Amino acid sequence: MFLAIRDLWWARGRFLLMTAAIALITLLVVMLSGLTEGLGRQSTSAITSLRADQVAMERPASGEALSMSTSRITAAALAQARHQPGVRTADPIGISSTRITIDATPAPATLFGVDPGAAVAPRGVSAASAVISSDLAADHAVQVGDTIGVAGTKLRVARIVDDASFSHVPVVWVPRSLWRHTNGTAAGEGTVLALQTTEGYDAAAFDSATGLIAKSRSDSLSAIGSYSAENGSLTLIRVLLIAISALVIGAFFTVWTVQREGDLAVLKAVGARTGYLLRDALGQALLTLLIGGGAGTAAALGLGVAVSGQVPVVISVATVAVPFGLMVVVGLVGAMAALRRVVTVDPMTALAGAR
Amino acid sequence: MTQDATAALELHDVGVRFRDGAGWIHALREVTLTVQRGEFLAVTGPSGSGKSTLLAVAGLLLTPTQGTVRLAGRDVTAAGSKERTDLRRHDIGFVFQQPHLLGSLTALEQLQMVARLDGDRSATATEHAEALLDQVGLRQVMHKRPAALSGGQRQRVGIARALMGDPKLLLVDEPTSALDHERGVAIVDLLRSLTTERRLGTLLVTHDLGTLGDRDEVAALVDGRLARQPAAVRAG
Repeated sequence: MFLAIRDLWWARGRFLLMTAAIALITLLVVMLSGLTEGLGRQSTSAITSLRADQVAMERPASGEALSMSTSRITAAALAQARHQPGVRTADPIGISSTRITIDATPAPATLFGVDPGAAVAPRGVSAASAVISSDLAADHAVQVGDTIGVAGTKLRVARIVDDASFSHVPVVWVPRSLWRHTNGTAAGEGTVLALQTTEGYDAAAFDSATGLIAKSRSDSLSAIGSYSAENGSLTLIRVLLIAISALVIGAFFTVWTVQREGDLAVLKAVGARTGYLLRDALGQALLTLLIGGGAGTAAALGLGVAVSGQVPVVISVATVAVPFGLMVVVGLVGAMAALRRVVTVDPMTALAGAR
Repeated sequence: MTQDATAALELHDVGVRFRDGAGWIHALREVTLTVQRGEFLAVTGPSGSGKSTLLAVAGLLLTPTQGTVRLAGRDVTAAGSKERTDLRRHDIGFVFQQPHLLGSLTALEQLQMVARLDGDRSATATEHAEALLDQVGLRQVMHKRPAALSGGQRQRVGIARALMGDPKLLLVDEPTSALDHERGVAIVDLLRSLTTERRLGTLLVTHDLGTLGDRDEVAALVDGRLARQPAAVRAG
């Protein structure tokens, strides 16, 4: 690093530009990671926090994708499901979008209709009471004990829970009888089936016997339309940004190495081993990435904290440290591709007549 | 003091040829040459005569297609790439036409860099570098970068750098071509005195006969063939 550090300082204008570019890309990648996670949670947290390991849905028609929005659980399927080997509990959940009233003010909400006392039902749901998400409570200043209106029925708020959002709309857990009343008998027993399984559960046999399709809780998220579209788009943008950063870093170090070819030839002529020069050059790239990536990550952290009240940004190891580490690793790969020239420089070119 | 009688460099029947389309270019033909420790030998010749190829072979940058190369008595003709690199670091000093100093390093750091190539970060290495810069008259500017030095000073730093590894053989490539006559003569005088003081074998390639002294040994390269020329003949 003897030469690397001195080169960094000597060509600080060029490296500052490169570091700024890395910082900006890292800022974008970290913010997008936090936003992807935040938006994802807004779409899925009510499902990911279910006390169930499998979620079963109606088998889609040929050519259609599995979807929670079009799924319907029939009474026959429910009865079959409850008798399958390895199924400890099978609780229907009725899911529908609606407007509830809070102090006569309408508010969008997703109803999760469950049977009070069922394994999947949050504590507090009863014929006369509901459980609401903390987002809804915060937005409308609702407290435990307040009353909300659901399809003309008054329900007391028994509890307020975190992580209860579906397709970006806060969830209200209500008794399934009320959900059926608002959706009619055509809606069946529910929209999805939450399963708690034990040893002996056979997914294929379950699907075959019930006519449903059961997925693990995490796999079932792809059946939430808004989540898969949104997550796919944001992930694609992140991947593209990381690929762009590898190209930008690779291009910079290619130009930088070309500019240094004379120096490298001389160093090789006076006895520098290629490994020494590679370590020095990679150390320089690593330092640039750590400084640029670190600055970008710090800026993203600050920005994330500042906007966390207004924008669904999640700050966690997965959304901060992982993208930062990925940027450094991918950047090093880009730099390595450029540093092939360090290997190929011919020390002969240090001699006047050989140039 | 015991003096090493082994020649710094011995080339025997060295030939280098390159493929050029369907034919061959003979850059060196049957070159036999010895540079003793303490000897200062200049090689002249027109462009394309093989001077750089000769330096490349002597400096282990190029393997000859025939003949043998001995460095300090050791046959290094078939040395592998890693061994050649190590030999260049320990036994050979290069002074280039343009000093090719690293822009980011001070004069002192240019020399420390050579020590660091060998993993030497010691204070002794720094003291050695300072002594060398002192010997070439640059103690006052050792903390300046190349951009702040004159052409002559840069070339002196290049010479000090070449001596940092205490080489037995000094290879000098057109050292005066970027300097005016007076500075060119001064550089050659410095090289000559260093050759004597440090018992180097010095092989200098130059176009510029005017910077050489009347007593310097000169060999001429023409079309890759070497002919040593007595100093008196050259002077006459």
